[in-house]
Amino acid sequence: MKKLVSILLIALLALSLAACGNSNGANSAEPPVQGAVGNSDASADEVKTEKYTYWLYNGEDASYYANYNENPVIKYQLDQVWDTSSGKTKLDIDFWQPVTGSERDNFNTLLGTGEYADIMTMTAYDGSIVDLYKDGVILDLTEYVEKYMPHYIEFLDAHPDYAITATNVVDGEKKYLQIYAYASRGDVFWGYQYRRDWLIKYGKNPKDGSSFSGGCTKKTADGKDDPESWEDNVIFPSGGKDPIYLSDWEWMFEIFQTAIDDIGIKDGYVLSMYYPGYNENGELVSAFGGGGGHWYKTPENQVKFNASTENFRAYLQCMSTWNEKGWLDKAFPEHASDMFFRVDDVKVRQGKVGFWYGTLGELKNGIDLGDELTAGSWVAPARHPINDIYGTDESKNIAPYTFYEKGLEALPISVSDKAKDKNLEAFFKWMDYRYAPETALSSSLGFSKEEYEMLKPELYTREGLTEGAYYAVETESGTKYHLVDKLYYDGGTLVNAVRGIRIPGLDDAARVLAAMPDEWGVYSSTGSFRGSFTSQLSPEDSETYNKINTRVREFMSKNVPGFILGEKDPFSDDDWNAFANALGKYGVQEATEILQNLLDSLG
Amino acid sequence: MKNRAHSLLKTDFRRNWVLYAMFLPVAAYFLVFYYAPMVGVSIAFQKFNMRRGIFGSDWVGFDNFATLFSGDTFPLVMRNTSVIALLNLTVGFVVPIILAIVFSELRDSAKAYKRTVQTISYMPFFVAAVVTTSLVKEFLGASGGLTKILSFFGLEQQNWLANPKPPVFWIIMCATEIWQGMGYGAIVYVAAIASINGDLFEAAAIDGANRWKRLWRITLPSITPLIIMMLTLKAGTVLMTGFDKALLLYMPKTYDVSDVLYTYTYRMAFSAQADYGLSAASGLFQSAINTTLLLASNYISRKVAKTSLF
Repeated sequence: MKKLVSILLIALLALSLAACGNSNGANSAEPPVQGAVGNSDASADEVKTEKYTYWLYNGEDASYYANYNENPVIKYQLDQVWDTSSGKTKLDIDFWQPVTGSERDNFNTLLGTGEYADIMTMTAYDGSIVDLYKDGVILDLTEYVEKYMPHYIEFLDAHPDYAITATNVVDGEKKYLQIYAYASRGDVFWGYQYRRDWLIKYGKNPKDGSSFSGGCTKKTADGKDDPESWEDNVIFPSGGKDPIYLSDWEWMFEIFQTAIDDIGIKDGYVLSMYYPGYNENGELVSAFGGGGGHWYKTPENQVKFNASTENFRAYLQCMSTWNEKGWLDKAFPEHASDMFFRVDDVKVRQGKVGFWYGTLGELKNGIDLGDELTAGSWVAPARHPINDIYGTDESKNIAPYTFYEKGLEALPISVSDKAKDKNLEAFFKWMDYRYAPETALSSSLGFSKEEYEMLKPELYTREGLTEGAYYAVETESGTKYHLVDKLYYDGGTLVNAVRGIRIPGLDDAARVLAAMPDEWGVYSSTGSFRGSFTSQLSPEDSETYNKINTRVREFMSKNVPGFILGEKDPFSDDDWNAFANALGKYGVQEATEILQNLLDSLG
Repeated sequence: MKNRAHSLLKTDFRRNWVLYAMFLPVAAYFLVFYYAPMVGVSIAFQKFNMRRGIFGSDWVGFDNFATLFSGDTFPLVMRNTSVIALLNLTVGFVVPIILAIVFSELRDSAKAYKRTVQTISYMPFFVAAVVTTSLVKEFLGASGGLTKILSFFGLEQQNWLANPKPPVFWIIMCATEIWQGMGYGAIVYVAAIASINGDLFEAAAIDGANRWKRLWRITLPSITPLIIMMLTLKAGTVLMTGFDKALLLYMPKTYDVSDVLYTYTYRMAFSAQADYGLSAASGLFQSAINTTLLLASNYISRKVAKTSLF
């Protein structure tokens, strides 16, 4: 009897293992889907499969799928068959996804132990790309790019400023060592926003002192306020319907303080602040006529370090004044683990903050939970402000030009020496497929209704996306696309999981109706350095620059809060000079020269 | 002489080959996991490149140490490290002994109570640092339970972890270490006290010695060798304790009081381009100090208490 049970159990185990094997091989077992490039007529026996490993910087929420090759868009693309010089080839990619938060550790460990993948997202690599190439870790991709990636080359030809940094100079010769993802428009998903409903309730027209009025003018089908129908008559001191200058902000802040006092919010505040007291990207700092806290380039292509300039001093004077007026969150240095676009998020969503830097999801009625503090709330976007109050004339009335802006380039990948003997032709043809305008849309937006009905991806069905991920809208400028509501208002996990955006390709954002409010796109960030720019630094310069930057960041994060919170006085020459001189000792001039030389050499 | 020793060893090996065989895995373990990695010490003297490895990286002499010591905040970092280490070595070391004595002084009728309290007291030892620090943040935050109790006694209501004044963070670190380690640390002392011959206490009681005198004259002298051994061992690791908690509890605002050698090195070496040379130099520096402390502690105890670990 025991023997019989044992045999049965072994048989059961063998069956389970066989079933697991089938599940893993599900991709290859399915018939190839009709594709623009793939050869759907190819019978399985004449198609070779080329296996790769691919290290992703970040994947998607594990509740949707375990490996990125199960992403519906990627799965569809991997089902394609590519005509190569060595015959019809399919790609089989095993994606390695590090645990969130340990991406760099994971990358460095793999690199250090030599156990790295065939293809690697280089976002986690801070060193010199040229160094990596010279060490034989990554391959020269020039031949592949030029031969198999016409759409990629076409994009670079149309964007010469990006073409400059798409290659690296190795011993005087330009080589493609990385492939970048490019977007046809740099939308952002976060920006300044404020409680416009408080302005209506507590504010007065700055011109005639009359009260404001406003609200939603329409109802949705289920009887709720239609968030798209908001109208009001709020006017700012500068005369427009939106805040433009710091004087508009300060007018608002006074109203918010009144609101907080009147409602009796004891642990609320007017304005949230990123923990070091400034944003290295340049948000708010750039309102004072320069860059962010660190290095930036002027419109005249001069590299400057901002934190020791009078512009930054004006910024600190402004922040110090706001702190004295009680507008700032005094506990801002304690929120060191918050992302800059989600500072003290709980309090924001509890309706205890008047003005903050947040995401698209909080706009309009995004924080309205129907409770005492948020019921009827209305959140409006604000553009980057222009200083018209603090500092000298050099710090006033200059449109900001250094701040976070979703770059047109992202996610660089390199191909390692582990793949040197593999059929890379098929891989690069797939890469190019992702840059072709006619096929890029599914990567950047997901599947349309027609594609869904043809492919019936399980994730779409499970999540109720039976109408597809997007739909077409006819506009004055032609056909545009719009994500379906479930994805448009999604917090960020599902909308990413149904698209194929973690791998380089063309993010065809220009064909999509902008979710970004106009106020967030008023100015362009021309003062920031892109990642591809600093990746051009020589190994020695890269190391020097990174060391100086680390020490400057450390010094700033320790000292800037003191100026804002009143421990040091930005109006005092002694305090200011001590700060600026100390910064000089960290080698900011050397780093400035390194960046300037690079900028000059790239023309 | 040499031949004789060799012959003795051979004989001993033949006689006890089973024991030698049993020791082999242990020796292998120490060789593989403790001695072989010591080759990595050379990284401290290199501009280490992970791809070129230890044998391919460039030698830079003491440059990494110079970088480590020349940092503006290095003196502050050393001060914080030393103070926290000293608190752990003194207050943190004494508390488990006191707890063990208290346990041993409980009457036999309170056995169940003793067991319960002992179990509860050593449970925190098994709590992960990230959970411990989360609890500390909850209790000592601006509206935390402990903060409210402290404000009841007239102290300002604040996030105590954000207080940059010198003793606050150190006290929190030390108290956290004590809370987490005292129960587990007391186990060895409780066992030592339990092994003291009961006749000694009985005789002393008959001679009129009260509890206090019995404690000073019998209990403490009996466990002194153990205390010295534990102190010597602790001295050798004192700089290494608490790094994970410091990293999880500190913030830029409190760097001046909370930044310790490990956290400082971590930021300097890994916040941008990984600098393994600097990291290894810091590790070697700490190991050197720890070894010095261990030897000094052993020497002092041999001289003063006439007992030592080696």
